[in-house]
Amino acid sequence: MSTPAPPTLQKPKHVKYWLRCLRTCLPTDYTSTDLNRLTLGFFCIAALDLLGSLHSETTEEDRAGWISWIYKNQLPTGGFRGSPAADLGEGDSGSEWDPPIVPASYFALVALVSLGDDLGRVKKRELLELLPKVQRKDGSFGEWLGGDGQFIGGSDMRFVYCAVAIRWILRGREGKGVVEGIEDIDVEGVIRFIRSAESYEHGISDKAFGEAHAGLTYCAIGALALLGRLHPTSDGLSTHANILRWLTSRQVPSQAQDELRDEEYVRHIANGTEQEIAAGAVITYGADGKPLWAGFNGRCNKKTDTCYSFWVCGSLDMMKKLHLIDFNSNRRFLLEKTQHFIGGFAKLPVPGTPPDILHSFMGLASLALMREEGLNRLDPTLCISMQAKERLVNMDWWRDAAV
Amino acid sequence: MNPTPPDSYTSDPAWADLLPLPQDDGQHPLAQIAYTEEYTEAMSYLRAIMAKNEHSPRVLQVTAHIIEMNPAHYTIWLYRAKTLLALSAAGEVWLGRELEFLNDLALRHQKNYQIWNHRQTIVEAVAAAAAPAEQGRLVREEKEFMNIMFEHDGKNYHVWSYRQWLVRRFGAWDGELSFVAALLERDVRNNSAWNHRFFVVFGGTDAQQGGGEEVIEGEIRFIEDAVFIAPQNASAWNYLRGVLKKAQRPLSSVESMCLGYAPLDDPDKITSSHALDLLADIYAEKREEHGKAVKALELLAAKFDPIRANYWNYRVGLIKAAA
Repeated sequence: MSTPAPPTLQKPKHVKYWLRCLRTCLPTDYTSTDLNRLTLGFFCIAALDLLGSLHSETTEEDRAGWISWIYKNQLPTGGFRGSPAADLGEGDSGSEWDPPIVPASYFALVALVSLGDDLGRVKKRELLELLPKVQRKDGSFGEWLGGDGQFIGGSDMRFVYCAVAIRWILRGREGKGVVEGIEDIDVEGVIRFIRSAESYEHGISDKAFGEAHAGLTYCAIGALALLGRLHPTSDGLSTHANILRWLTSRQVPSQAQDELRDEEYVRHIANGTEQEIAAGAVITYGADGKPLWAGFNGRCNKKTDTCYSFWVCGSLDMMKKLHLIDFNSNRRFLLEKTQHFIGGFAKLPVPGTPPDILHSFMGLASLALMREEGLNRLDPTLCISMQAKERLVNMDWWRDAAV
Repeated sequence: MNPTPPDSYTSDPAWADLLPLPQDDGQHPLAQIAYTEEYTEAMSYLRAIMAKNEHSPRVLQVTAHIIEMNPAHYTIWLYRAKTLLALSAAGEVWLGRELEFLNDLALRHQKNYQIWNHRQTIVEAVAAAAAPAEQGRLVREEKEFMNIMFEHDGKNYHVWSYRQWLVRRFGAWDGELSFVAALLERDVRNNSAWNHRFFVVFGGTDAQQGGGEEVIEGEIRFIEDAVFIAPQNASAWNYLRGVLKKAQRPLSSVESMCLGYAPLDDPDKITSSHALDLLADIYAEKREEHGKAVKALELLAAKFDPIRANYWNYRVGLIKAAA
């Protein structure tokens, strides 16, 4: 019997995958992400940065070009649009239908920092002034401000995280302000909103009485970390013990049936014989008595998905408790079940699922948190490489602001 | 209400007055997408008409056309809503038709959430203009449509979120508990349904809200039945913890139930890791029972939930540190 090959990060293939994403047109299927191109752009840049290839595989000219392109999406009135698709031409920039978008502004800043830009051309005052305007009375944030001053977009933790991250990047660690005299957001309101969204399971949801969700939990914990309110004695969460149980419970062993396509899965559950169903639920164990593969789900009793390997590990890392998960089986889940042979990662461990930009980044990010050899380290809070974060906090304007 | 899109906006006389606004991707674009010609052309006309801030019937035509290709275009939804409300106020459209359009779209784009935000805006507007009896019918029809969505995916986050909004907005609590019980009958592991149960039992205003002894007893009986069917179902055990906390009852009040699924002195008969976990918490509260708590955690680490061995060992460490 031959020994199976050890699970390996196919680094050259990942580099190729990301360079292809950067240098050629994305397939038509990405049309549904057309208004989030800054987000996609950030993932491409940050992934190459994690792979240590951003500076070796792209030229100075490439990077300067991408930086200019990101700035081209900055509105004259401050803040960024999500895509050139929203640009209504010079006369109408910043108008009701081409507004600055909170998540796009966050992704623009972290992409710029990752590319080595000093944020010198960011309209910092205008962007910071936007934040309290998009904050609701209940502490949550809208996605953008409508023409008649109403808050637009869902009210959930994603926008809370993006707004708080923008504030941290531009105001500095102590929140004292890059630019004096700018109205701050209502920090206590943010804390209240996060507390209200902690569900009875002790994960965070979209609002009071919503269902605990790992992606939203990451956003809430990230916001608390950036506000300096994540410490175990702080009041940002009910108790760390509660959240830790919920977060660690997200890691679940792979079952044979996880590899079925959705429609096959439904048929299997509804029409399978007792033996077939038992075979589908089989878990493979290693010599140490632990399941060989165990990724993460985003909610209780849901299936594993590559992105939750990041949302959960990132949350635990910020709480300084990443060591409580099982590294080996998460690593093997990613490398053997969702890593794609052309590079990148698929969303699900279903054979034949193609890789996509979001999940390809999340797979790498989870591995980077676990200190995978060959990857740069990731700052779990800002979601950029440690080197990029170091560059940010050592910029003159940042250091001065943080004094 | 959504006239069929033209084969070409450029050659359609109804669009002749608009100068299309092409997209300027600039030099060195990131994440460039291979758009279809159809999408490129429609978007050029959308930008042109948005720049004019026009609110006319043809806005419904071009927005429906683009939403079909890109339902996650966030500003387009708001633009469409504003146009609909303006046209409805002028008596030019009937908003009920918009809900039909959304039904069809939501079924084909299950993961999209903008559809549900938009639906909320439209339902608010329809309700504002409706007599009380018509409101009742509106809510009933909304619930019926959500049932169809749940047939496809009983855990759709956006639909559940929307349902909570609808129930609270219209005080439509009647029938929610039996609805959720039916879903749990179909799949006792549906955590979204358990979560909705918690909302229905504890999330209402004082008038509807339970929380009295009788309600708590009822919930605990419901949980006992669910755990009996599937002892390893985390949803039911999490719900139990939630109910006990709301009722301010100690965890120790369910010790005998836990022992039924996790007899510590007879490990071969243990059928639920969640019962072990709960027992560990119960015994950790009393110093003289710490030994039993450690035993439960060690069983979890070694045999009943080894994937979380690090976590169970960490809990052992906390108990030992407290001693």
